[in-house]
Amino acid sequence: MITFAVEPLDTFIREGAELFDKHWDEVAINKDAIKLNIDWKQYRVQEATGAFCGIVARHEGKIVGYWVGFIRPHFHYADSLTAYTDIYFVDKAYRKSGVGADLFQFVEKTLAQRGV
Amino acid sequence: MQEDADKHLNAPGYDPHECMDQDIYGRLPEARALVMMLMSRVGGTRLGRVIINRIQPGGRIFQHADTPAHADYWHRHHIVLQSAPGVVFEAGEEQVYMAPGELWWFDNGKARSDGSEPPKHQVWNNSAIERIHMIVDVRTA
Repeated sequence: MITFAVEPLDTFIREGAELFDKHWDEVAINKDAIKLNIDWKQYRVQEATGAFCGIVARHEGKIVGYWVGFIRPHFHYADSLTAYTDIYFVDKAYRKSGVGADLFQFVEKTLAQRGV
Repeated sequence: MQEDADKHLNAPGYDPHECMDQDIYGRLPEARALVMMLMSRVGGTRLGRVIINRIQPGGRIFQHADTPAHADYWHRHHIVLQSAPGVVFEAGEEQVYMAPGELWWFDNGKARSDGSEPPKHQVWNNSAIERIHMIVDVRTA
């Protein structure tokens, strides 16, 4: 069973390390020069303003995928609430099984509920 | 059959909401303290069912609404005794994670003034541990 839920930033800080490393390893370039060093303080600021939105896919309690974005008025269209995607990832072992599509369906539903 | 049931439910002196103090309650001293704290917190005038509900990892309660007569009469509360991320509670379009130590009220199927169908609820335990809630029905003034 895979379930999806909006979860607080603490989830990512506490449980995200393993997937963040896999994510970085798979997509980052110039790894020798630019190291993964997540600015959690800045994420905390975004959470405090209500902009942070973290969605997690779990299997038997373990995180197997995530989407993170920021919800705020658009920079060009201030009357329009907009979601800016920060990152998304699904563990390799869970790909080609519909988890990614289900994750984005859940993201769309959540963002619509938030008024995006 | 239904006529017999109606006659019984409407009989003078019969109260379909009456709940008896069970022996097991006496063997769970911490439960009574939690229930009384809740009664005090919400200004309860009558205590209904107290149920300790456990869902195994991988378990699920399928979508349903509670019995309308019961849902209308009582306010349903959940005291979260044990849970973990991966437990998903959905009521209508809303989804929440109820964390251990938290107390939640939710609409378990109260009748709508416009006659529309009340929202249903369901639970998935997609965590690695048992999800244990104490469910407490309270009537308030």
